[in-house]
Amino acid sequence: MLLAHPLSIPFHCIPYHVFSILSQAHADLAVRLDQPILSPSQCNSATNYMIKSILAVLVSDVFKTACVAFLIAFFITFASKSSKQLLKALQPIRNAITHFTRLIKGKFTRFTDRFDQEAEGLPMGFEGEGEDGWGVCTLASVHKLGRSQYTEYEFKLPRQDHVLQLALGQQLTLCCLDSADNVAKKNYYVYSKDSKKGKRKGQFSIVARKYVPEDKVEMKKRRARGEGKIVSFVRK
Amino acid sequence: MWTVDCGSELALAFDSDEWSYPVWSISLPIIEFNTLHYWFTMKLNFVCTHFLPAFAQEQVLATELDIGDEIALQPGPRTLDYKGEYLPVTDMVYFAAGDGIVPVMEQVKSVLPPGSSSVKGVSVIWANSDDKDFDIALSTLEDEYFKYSTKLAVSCVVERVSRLKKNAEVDEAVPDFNPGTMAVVSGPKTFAIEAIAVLLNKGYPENCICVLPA
Repeated sequence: MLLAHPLSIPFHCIPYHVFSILSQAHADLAVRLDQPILSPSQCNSATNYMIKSILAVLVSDVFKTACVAFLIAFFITFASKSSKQLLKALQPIRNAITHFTRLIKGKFTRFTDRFDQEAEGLPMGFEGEGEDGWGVCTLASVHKLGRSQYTEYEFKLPRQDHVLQLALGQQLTLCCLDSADNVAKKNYYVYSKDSKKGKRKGQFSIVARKYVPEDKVEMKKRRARGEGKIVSFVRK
Repeated sequence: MWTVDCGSELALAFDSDEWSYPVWSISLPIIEFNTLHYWFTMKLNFVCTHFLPAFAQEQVLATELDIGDEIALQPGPRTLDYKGEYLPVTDMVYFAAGDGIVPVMEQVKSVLPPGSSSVKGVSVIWANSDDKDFDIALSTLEDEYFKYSTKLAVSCVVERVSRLKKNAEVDEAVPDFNPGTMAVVSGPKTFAIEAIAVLLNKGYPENCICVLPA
């Protein structure tokens, strides 16, 4: 018996794409009710075909590449976001390790310092009477001290083996003339970056605040106001 | 014309609010004439050398001194002076600000090595209003700390000078006074005043506090 209605076909045997074809051409299709339009083997082959095509996609190089790229991108994103937290969590451990390493290094330096006997330099002489004698040094270099507002001035002593024999806490007086022959004189403490106690031979450094031009302006203003003028007075 | 008494000192000075230093001075001799007064005229010729104030030295260093220029030097005043009655000094407390750390570094390096002094413990409290100023000596202080970690304690405090007294970190870092402790204050004048107040609050006698001039 022949029927021209597609609904008489067992649906479980009709894949969607077949059904859509059938629905387009249902007028011309002859269907037998006692026989399925597609044999079970044909149905299975259609499913197999789909599986095969999916597998083909999965196995294809393009898909693999896409997957690998996705995984790499995912891990990079994940690592970048989680590394900060991870590092934060590990920071105390890192600090402890660094601290311990530096402590060991410090103890080692302390031990080696015992054997590091520096040859004594020649004490620098100062020409003049008693403690009023003066010597001469030469400006060797000027360095900014890190990000600070201070500058290190390094001076060379007349001889390379000269050392300044200063007591603990003793200052050094530096004196020079400016371009107008005014005397500029100030006491400084000797600055040493080295962790070793030994005196530096042939040179020394001082630290001075970085020059700010406003100071000069301020000084001129003071003078204009009559401050800083020469006055005389009698003291009992 | 000035009238001056015998025995007094006549001085000519450069004077302002911030600095004052003599340009010329003379002490007149004491003349033992109880009943007579002598008037005499002295003609004084002054040869004045104009001294710039101390801070101007930094301007000269920065602007007028080039590499290779010569400058005169001489040993300056000794500033470390202990007048306390507790001897020997077993502990040192250094309270510094800004470049006041420079003399402190030198002293720390001198007293820390075993056998070099009677000092058993050193505390350094270094205050700066800007943390960038720690670049002067932080690495050196760290090196010293790792060498003598059981003997040296270093505290770096970022605080304005005017607020030091109220700062909890400073309060914690400054140890209470014990006989044998010497305190050294090093920094600008405004800081020294505040630091002395902090130390006095901690029970330090005045004669155990040494102030290093800036």
